[in-house]
Amino acid sequence: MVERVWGRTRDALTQEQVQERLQKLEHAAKLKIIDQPQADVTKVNADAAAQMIKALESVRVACVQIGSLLIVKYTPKKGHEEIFIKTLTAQELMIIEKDRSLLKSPEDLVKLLDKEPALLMPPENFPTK
Amino acid sequence: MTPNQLIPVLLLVSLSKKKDAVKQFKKLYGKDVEALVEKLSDTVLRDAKKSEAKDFYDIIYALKNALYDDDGPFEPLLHQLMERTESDVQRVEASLSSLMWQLSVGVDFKEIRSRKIIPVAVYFQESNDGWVYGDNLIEAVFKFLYDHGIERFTELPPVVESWWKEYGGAPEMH
Repeated sequence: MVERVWGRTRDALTQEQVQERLQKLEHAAKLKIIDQPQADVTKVNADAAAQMIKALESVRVACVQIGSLLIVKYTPKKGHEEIFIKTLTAQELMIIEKDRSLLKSPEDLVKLLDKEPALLMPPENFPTK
Repeated sequence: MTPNQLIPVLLLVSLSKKKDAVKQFKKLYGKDVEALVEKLSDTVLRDAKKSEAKDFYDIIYALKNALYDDDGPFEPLLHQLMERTESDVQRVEASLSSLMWQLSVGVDFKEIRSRKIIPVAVYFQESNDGWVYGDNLIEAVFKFLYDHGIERFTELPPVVESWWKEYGGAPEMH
């Protein structure tokens, strides 16, 4: 099942500024996961990140995609539950847009994104423009 | 639910207050129309509240009250809602025109400053998880995004039994 919502920036921004915000989100969420407070993350950010991670706790397997930011919650057959957060590159985004079935197997997707960047090369005839 | 989707629902609600119309609905659907209307109203209210658009929510709330009061000011409220919808459409048209103008004079798209649209999707492996936890998770995600200047804009119906299927839209573009 897919829940889909459009978000919108409150201010007028350039594309680069949007990317910067998504990277800040990634930073705030990662800090919360490793439970490490840092001066550049305000309490408000940290609380909101904690609430989102807490909401993910109830679900065994889910992928959250916020523009180019990907958050994957999965529980391996053997081992503890894990949360993977990454700002996707344009190339990685294209691969997922082309084959959404990758999101069906979060564990494999994480392995692919985390450890095997060479496999993410698009096929020869893949349209890049 | 967007204002555009809402208007037909409100018209249905309005219509169903008339006894003849209720009879017609009962003939057509064989259901308890009052319950159907109540359910629709609750859905509308819940979605309006989630959107955090306080003025919009206020209009809907007033509409619901008016609908159950025979002397209620239903028509002015509906008119107000339609004006709000028209104004939203005009704003979108204005930003699109501005975007087209800037592109036509050769401004690099990356440098164009505008309110950017960002797709948010949550994929659940188990459909049941989606039904049970979907709303909470989306709400928590948007609370997180709100601190970074991103607000909920519009909602699409969930896609069931096909969590990996394509969803609408391109990233960070409009």
